[in-house]
Amino acid sequence: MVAELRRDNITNQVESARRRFDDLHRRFTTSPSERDLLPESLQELSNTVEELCVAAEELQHQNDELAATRVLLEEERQHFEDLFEFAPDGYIVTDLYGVIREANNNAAKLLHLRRDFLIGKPIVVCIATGEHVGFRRLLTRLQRGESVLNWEARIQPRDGPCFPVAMTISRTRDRRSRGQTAIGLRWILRDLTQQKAAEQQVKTQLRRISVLRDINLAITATLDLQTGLDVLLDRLALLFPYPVAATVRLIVPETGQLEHIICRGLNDLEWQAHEPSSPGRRTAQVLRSGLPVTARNVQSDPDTRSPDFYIQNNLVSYLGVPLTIQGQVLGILCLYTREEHEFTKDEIDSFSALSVQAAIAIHNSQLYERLKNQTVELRLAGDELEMRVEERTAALAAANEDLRSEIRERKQVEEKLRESEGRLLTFANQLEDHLIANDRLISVGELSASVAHEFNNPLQIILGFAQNLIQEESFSEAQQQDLCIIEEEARRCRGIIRNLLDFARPTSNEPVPIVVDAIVHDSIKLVRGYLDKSNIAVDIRIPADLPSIYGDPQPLKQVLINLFFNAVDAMPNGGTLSIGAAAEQASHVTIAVCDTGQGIHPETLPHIFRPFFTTKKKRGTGLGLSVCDRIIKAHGGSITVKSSQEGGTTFFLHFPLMEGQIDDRAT
Amino acid sequence: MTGPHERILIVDDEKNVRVLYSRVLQKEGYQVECASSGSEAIEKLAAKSFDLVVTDLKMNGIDGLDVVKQGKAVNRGLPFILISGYGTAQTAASAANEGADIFLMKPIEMTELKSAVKKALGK
Repeated sequence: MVAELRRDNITNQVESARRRFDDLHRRFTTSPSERDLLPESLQELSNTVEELCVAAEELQHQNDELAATRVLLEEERQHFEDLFEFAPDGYIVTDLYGVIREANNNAAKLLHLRRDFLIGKPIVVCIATGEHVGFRRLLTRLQRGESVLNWEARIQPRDGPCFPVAMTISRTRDRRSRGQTAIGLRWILRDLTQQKAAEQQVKTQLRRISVLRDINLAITATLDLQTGLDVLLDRLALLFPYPVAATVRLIVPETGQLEHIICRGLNDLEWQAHEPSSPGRRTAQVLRSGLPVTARNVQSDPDTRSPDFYIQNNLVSYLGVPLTIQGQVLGILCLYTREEHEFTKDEIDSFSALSVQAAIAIHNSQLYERLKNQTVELRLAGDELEMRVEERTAALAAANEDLRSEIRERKQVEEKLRESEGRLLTFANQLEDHLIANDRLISVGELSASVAHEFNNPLQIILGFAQNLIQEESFSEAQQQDLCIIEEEARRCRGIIRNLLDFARPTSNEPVPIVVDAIVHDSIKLVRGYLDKSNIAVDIRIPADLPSIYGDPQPLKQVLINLFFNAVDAMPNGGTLSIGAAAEQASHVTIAVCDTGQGIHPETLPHIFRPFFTTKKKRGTGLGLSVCDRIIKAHGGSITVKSSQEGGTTFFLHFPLMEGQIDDRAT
Repeated sequence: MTGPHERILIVDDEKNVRVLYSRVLQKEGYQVECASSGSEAIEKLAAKSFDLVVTDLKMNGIDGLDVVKQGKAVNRGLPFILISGYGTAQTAASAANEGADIFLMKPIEMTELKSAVKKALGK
């Protein structure tokens, strides 16, 4: 490595060598004695020469290095010059007063001036007039010593509009003064037009994003379609800062027709009146393609169906975007400007973004509406279900109660059945007894009829001979009286037999008029002997004008005789059997059979007309009163009873009068 | 004994009845002949001439209605008095149908018998 050879060192070395040479020369010339010193001197000289050689060599080396450095410096200078010339920014070098000394290509281009024109001009001529004050302040600060400043200003080129630039200004220093003295200013100019435009664009985008975000928030905050769309259209002005009108129409899924939903900047009714439900060409294009469609001027557009409407309403440029969600087109969102306008891509994009929001709002509201309806339906269904459940529960409870009640009743019935089973058994036995008794009665009846007939011949003989003998004059009066008694008794027997036969005669179906007085007397005749024997008086009181009743005399006699027998049984110690009759209310005849007996026990009274009911133990058949009841009912009448323990018993037989009889009596 | 001499046939299966009717009618002057059954009566009607037949209705074998029927077949103009111990409206109607002139129900008054006979004989 060659030691740094500085100029001072070389000068010192050369000086040292000269001094040594001078010393040697002096010593050599002035004192020959010193000549002995020659070898020493020569050695010294030689050393000096050698040192010089080394220095010379070093110098050569340094020269080479310097030459190389110069080349490098030149290269660097060229490089920097190129950088200066072709830098993307404008570079201007001025003196401290802003007079341009140098300017690169970009600076000239930026300022719309030739480079040679720029040199010598104050830089202030390029600055927009409004910025001059600021410029001068800046210059002052730089002149005072501030080294680097950033400043934004607007440049006013000779031709063309102002544009913004960013400037970085630094001071250039004099190298000779080792950088202590500022000799000029270096200006780096950067065109901010694009940056500003980009910034503006970013701002616009941010504002739109903010607006869209607001809209999104507002829309998602409501599920009501009208409110959501109101919010959306209210915010339009934020996206389109010029007068616009907008409409929203939806496709009716059932018909495929368009339905007007809402509009802004337009009269709702007028718009609806104008806009047919079938889509026009532009709308159809939007709906078909699913893409935004624009028209520069709808008033003159050949696709416009009725330009007059658009002219009257001052609707000019058109932007239509589909309302699409999940690939399904729900409708269309249209924007109209009041002045002719070329929609930018950003505007179209923003409007499309808006349409997405709108579609979401519509979809949400539709879903909500559906959900609401489903909820209502669900609630109704729930209510109905609840109601049905309640009804069913109530019905079930009622059914359960019924069932319980039925079980209770059944148990009671079972209990009663068990009780009545015993009774039934007794009843069956009684029935058997009664049937036997009945059969016996029938047989007795038939037999008595037969016997009655058989009696006719002997009676005929007795009666006949008695009457024959009465004619004999040879008999004494007493004998004749005896014969008369025989005759009379025979006649009585005949009467009894005839009554008996009448009673036993089969009944006829055709009702015949029956004289109450006659039938009562006939019936009494049959039981007369029995009554007399029982010490019972008979009192018959029947009005002469009593209307006849209609029916079958035989069963009616049976009824009366039954009642007479009952009366006899009720008066074991004798009494009076009264038979009366009267016409009641001109519509009924009532026969009353009354005894003065012991009366019927109140507990027994309700059961007396039941078949086989008897209080006569083994004596009675138990058929009497039930048969009486049946017979009277068969005559359209009824039988009632009044009884007291003290006043005896009265049976009332009520017979309806025939229609003609009622009329007669009424008149 | 004076009186009518009409011949009367009395038919009854009861002997005492025959005796009674015979006594009463004979006392009235009629010539009385008796038959104790329907078949005997028919025989007598065929053999002799009678002016009147008084017959019982219910008899074993040929009954009173048959007697009337067959008697009328022999002599259409012969009157019949039918007397029954089993008389009903129905039997009376049947008797009338067979041609009996008078129907009476036992036991009858003897005066009734006498007047019925007179009536039947057209007196």
